[in-house]
Amino acid sequence: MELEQLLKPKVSYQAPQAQRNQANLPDFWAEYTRSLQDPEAFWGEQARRFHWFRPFEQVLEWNFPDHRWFLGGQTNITYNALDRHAQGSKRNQVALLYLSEDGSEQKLTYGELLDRVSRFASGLRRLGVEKGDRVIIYMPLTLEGIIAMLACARIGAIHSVVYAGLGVSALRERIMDAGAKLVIAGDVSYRRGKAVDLESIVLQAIEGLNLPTVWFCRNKAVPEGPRFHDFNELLWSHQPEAEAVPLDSEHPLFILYTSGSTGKPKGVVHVHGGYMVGTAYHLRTFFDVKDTDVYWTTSDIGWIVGHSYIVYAPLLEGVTSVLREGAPDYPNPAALWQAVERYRVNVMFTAPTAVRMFMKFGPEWPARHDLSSLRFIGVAGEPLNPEAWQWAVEHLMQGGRRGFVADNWWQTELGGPTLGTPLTLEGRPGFVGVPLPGVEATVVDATGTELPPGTGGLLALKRPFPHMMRTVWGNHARYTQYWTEIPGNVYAAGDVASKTAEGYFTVLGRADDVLNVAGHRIGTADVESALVSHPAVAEAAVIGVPDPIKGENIKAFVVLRVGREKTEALRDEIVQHVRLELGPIATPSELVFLDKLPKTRSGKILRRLLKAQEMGRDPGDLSTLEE
Amino acid sequence: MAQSRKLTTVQAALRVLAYLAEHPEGVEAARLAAFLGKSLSTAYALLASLVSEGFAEREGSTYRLSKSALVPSPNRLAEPEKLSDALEELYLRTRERSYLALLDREGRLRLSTRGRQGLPKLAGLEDQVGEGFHALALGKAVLAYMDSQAQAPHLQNLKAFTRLTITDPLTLEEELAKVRQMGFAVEIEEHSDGISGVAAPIFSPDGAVMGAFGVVVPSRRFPYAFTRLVQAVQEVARAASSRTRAEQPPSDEAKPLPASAPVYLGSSSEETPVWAPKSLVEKANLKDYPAEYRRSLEEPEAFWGEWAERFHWFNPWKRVREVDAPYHRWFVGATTNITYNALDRHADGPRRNQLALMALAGDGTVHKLTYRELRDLTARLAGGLLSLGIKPGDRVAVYMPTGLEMALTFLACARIGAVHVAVPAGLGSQALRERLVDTQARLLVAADRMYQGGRTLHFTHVLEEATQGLDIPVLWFSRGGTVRPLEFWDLIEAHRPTTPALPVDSEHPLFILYTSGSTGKPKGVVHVHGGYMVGITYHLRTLFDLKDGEISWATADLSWIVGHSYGLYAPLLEGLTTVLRAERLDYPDVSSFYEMLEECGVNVLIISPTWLRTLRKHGDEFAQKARLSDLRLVASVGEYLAPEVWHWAAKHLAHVVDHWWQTETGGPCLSTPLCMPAKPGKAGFPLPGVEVRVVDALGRELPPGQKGHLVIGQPFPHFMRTFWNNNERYLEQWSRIPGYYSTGDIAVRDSEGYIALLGRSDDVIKAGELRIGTAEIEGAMLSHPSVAEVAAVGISNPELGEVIKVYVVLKTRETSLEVRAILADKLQAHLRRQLGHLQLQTVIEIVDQLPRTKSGKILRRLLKAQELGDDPGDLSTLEP
Repeated sequence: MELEQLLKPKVSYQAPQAQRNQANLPDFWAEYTRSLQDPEAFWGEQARRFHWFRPFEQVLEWNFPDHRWFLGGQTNITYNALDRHAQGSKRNQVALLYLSEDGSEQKLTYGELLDRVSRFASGLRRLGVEKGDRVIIYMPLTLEGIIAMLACARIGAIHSVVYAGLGVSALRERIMDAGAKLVIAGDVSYRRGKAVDLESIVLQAIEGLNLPTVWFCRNKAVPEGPRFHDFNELLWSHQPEAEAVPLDSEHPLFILYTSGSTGKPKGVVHVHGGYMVGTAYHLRTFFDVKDTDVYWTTSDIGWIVGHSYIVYAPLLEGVTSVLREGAPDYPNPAALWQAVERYRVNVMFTAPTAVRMFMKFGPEWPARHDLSSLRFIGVAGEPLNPEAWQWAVEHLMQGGRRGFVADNWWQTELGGPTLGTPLTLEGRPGFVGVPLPGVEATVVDATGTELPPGTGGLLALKRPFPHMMRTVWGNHARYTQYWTEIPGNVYAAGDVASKTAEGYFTVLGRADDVLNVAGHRIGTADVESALVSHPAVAEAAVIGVPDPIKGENIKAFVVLRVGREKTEALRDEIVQHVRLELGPIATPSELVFLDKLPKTRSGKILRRLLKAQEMGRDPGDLSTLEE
Repeated sequence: MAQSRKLTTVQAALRVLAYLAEHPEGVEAARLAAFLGKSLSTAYALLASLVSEGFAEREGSTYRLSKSALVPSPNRLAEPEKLSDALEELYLRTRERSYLALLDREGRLRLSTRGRQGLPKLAGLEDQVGEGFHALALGKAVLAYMDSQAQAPHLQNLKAFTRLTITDPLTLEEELAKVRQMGFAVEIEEHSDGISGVAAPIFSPDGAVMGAFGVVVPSRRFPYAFTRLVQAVQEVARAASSRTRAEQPPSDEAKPLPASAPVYLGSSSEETPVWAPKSLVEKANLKDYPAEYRRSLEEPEAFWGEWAERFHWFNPWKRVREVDAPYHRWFVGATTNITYNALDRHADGPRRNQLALMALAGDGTVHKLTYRELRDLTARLAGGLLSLGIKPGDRVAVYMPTGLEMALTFLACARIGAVHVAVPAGLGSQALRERLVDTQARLLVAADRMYQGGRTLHFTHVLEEATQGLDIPVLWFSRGGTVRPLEFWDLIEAHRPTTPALPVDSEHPLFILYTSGSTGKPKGVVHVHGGYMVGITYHLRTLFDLKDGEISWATADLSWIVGHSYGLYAPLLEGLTTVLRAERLDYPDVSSFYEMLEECGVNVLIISPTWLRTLRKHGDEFAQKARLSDLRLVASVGEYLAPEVWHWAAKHLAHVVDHWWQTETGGPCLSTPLCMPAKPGKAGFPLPGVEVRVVDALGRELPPGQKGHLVIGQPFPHFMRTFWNNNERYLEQWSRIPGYYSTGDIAVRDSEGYIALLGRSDDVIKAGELRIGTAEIEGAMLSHPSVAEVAAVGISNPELGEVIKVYVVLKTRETSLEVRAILADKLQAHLRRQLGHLQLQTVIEIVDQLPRTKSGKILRRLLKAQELGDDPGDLSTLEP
């Protein structure tokens, strides 16, 4: 009887009453209404929680499609993230807690972090880095990686973190596009007990560029090079003298590259003022983080989730942020839960792919550990399937009696959670949730006409918010395109979605050709051009194939050059080639040799057809198919 | 550094000779310098000495091997078959048991012996000896000349054969340096009881040590036969070597103290008061000292009750205090637990993720623990202690180096109401045993080793000796990979963090801490949960002036009272961050001390005058280079702080707060709060709650300027409750001077009320953080078989601090000066082994007799006065 009820899928989940009573945002709808009715008062109030060297005069200037926030204000995100706490009662509170696979830990308090960041910032200045200069950071998930980011921000330099796992050409492309003045790189990252070489990737990527490079070496000596410096030497040979430079609130904080369907990655630009205000707001109200919480985002500093919720928002709010280098299931599938118990983690932010992985290992692993401290798990990166949601509620949250699992949706461009299920509302499997305060979202067709509930269409945002991107680096036209793709002055998210009459959204997937592999967005064009760059490959097409763990797997279709044999050896060679070019996550898990690819008459490859064939679906209109 | 020291002058000389032999055409000094990797002047010096010894010849600027050096010595006995002749020769010349020891390929000594029936033999030796070189004169003679690689295995895990065996590697290395200096080795009952001996090394043609000749005799005959034996052994060994040793390396031994060390105590105090920097004065937590002091004495109950309100009490008190002099109880009827206030209160509040402590272990491990983590680890260990059957009131002895594990042990004991008894790691087995027996400890929590100054100090033997025959389990903190049945971290791992802080009566004992008395037996000072908690935190805030969010570092070992109160309990109770470090402050060099201050961002440093003197000695350069912007205040405690050192520290570190207290008082008693100007050289005023007087022997208060006994009038909350198992001694301390508690210190008060400490009135020597009774030292010394009488006095030295001078009368008076010098070294090593205090500075002097009173008491006063060049005072009782 009871078993039957347990087995019956639930239709909704609610946070425990006690948790809802103590929510930082008790009345979600009132807040939401106010945020749209009077956005300037709303965000102005949020902004005044921070230190401004010069107060802002105007909250918003909305000059379609450009938006600027906190005009006339001067601040520095690191002053608010570090100095404010280090000079106050949080000086000796742990700011960052670094964990490694072998169970060792490193802690930095706010006081220590400020000290290290100020030293490193002084070091960067000595290397000639100035306000507005771009610095590429290609570092493993370490305290040093975060110190490098904050040190840049402190002196007004613009950091651009490249995920340490991307390949040579991806890294070089980003260095060139950003016009980087300096590279900060690690020699290795540690994963599954092994040192993964980063050094040779960096050396190839910067070859001939004569770029000064700061090396954070844990495995070997700093490589020989005329403009190479040692990270620790640079840090410790300088006094902690670099103050946080007062910057215009619209001064760029970072560029973060995201893949597009058109091939060239886009450098999304976020700024000091608005990004600070918006990301911190959602940490408090959406993730419901309290002052003394230990907060753990299981992402990487190479992604927007890591920027916002490993580094900036937790530090801005003065809590303890956890980071762990390596694989979440190494040395055993309970590694994460052991850490949750040991460090009494209160709030976690992870990806559906991770949840599905835990599901695969089984509930006995989390059951071995005391997870009583954990009361909130945020999940984002791709749609959270109902089974995974249910599993997480059941096995990580004691069937929902202890806490809440909250799905949320956002993008690099949006800086922080945009759609999501606040803990005071009910969670509905299959639906990501409602638009969060400050967000006006809708579902439209290609002409910009709003669609009725239940109908699939394009997800669009009708107004900007403070932590939304300002431009695409070096390509403002591309930025404008986001706002003009769909008529009606809306931001096109590029996702297909639908909503219910009550305002719950479901996000179905990408509208364009971007793959979502284990939470990482990969452009099909990137993979295809990497394939084609192999001398044996004539043409290539790539599609995403659903995968229960990773979300999507990459499947590649390749037409070989005339005269090349379709051998296993060649198949492996091509796969390895892509791996070297783009890194392990963009490596095709399947590669099929074809004699020709389906194309339109205009010569565009019909990926739609390949995908439909793969999934056994109706390929739809094939009128344009070349016979 | 260590490497370059290894290449002694002798080795260098041998290398020179080998080089000259390879180059018969002649060599210039510059080339030789390059070959040796040494300076040109060193090369010249070496060559010059070789020429003067006849080993080398000089022609213009070139040097050659001397032709005569190549000629075999006429009475050469170095051929192996001739060595047996040499052994025979040695026996015939000494008529004593003679030994020849030859090193074989495996590094063992092959022994052959010559003697006759009735002559003693080294007991328990086969004809091959592979270990225990350190206990044998033969072994030491060989060991001293081995290269460091071959030597290394013999310097580890030194086994004790007798109670005189050298088991401390540091002492052994000193001994080996002596061997190289003298050319022979001495063994006094180090291998077998009642047997002593000498030995000298023999060398092969390539200059390497190949063995030794030695002679053993009964110890009682040893002093008489000594000169004759040494001469014979050395001559035979020299003849047996194909080549005599070149000039001996210069001694790198510490020079003895100058005969007349300057008088220090109580002299040269500057009268100009010094104010703390204005910003410190303005922001001081205590702004009006006179008013606060007055109130603390006029309304002590309101005063302390108010401060106690800041803490959590499971049950409120009925009365703040109950005094039935000399007994006193505070917060009567209340229940609390010091760890609830030090941990849980913060771990469940806003300081959950704040660092509670940063612990730097001697092996380089850094532990940073938040209040939540420290509480959980404490609770887990507390659960572990409960599982071992430890109950409230049980005593748990702790023998560990300063660090996380020791802190956890203290806190876990306190959490379940057990009483911790810290015994300084390094203290000898006898002293440890005495404390285990006195407290009837139920458990000993001990580290198997500690790392200090680049060395590993092994405690296994000490612990085995101390616990032998006692029914006491040991909870081991093993660091060398050895896993013992009951391991510290395993016990923690096996328990969940669920053991709560047990509500205990506010008068429930928290710890016992031993301090030395003049009567010999160390006294176990007892402190309790309630009053101690209230009192020490008051002074942390008002004297050390710590603010929320600050970091304090008490450099004292956790096993001293300063470590208990200000390394651990008070900063945790106040929710601050405390730094613990096991290593010497100047290791690997003094810059590491400044780096620590800088990297940890220390705001208040609590340090001893000994270390301040050491820092000053290292020069201003380090201090000037350091960035000490966080450091606000330096509190100095432990002994007299000279004005010169005060000014140096104030200039190079931060404003100095000198203060005086004792184990018995739990917290500071005399000092100069920030709101008052300080007089360097004088501790200052009585602190709030503390009523002190300077009186004569009858308890009459003395006018300003007159020296007298420093006494305490009224007990305060953190004043000791009794001496463990020795309440009579507690009463005695309150009755020695009528109506007062005698601190045992001599002091003088000036007209403005500043009190200066002049030294101990009783027979207790203060050396650094350590207080040790003369009786304890004398007792240890008397356990040596050669010692008849002994007297120990503490001598103040501006450079070294307190030095312990030990006067020894030997059982055999007719000894040569040479034997005396050797014995003095042996006695020093013996003392060190017995007491185990590695930081003790001792000087041994062998005298013919000690000055005594007519009643037979040794007049230490006279010895001390002679040493300091003082007027010895009234000598009417001196025996003529």
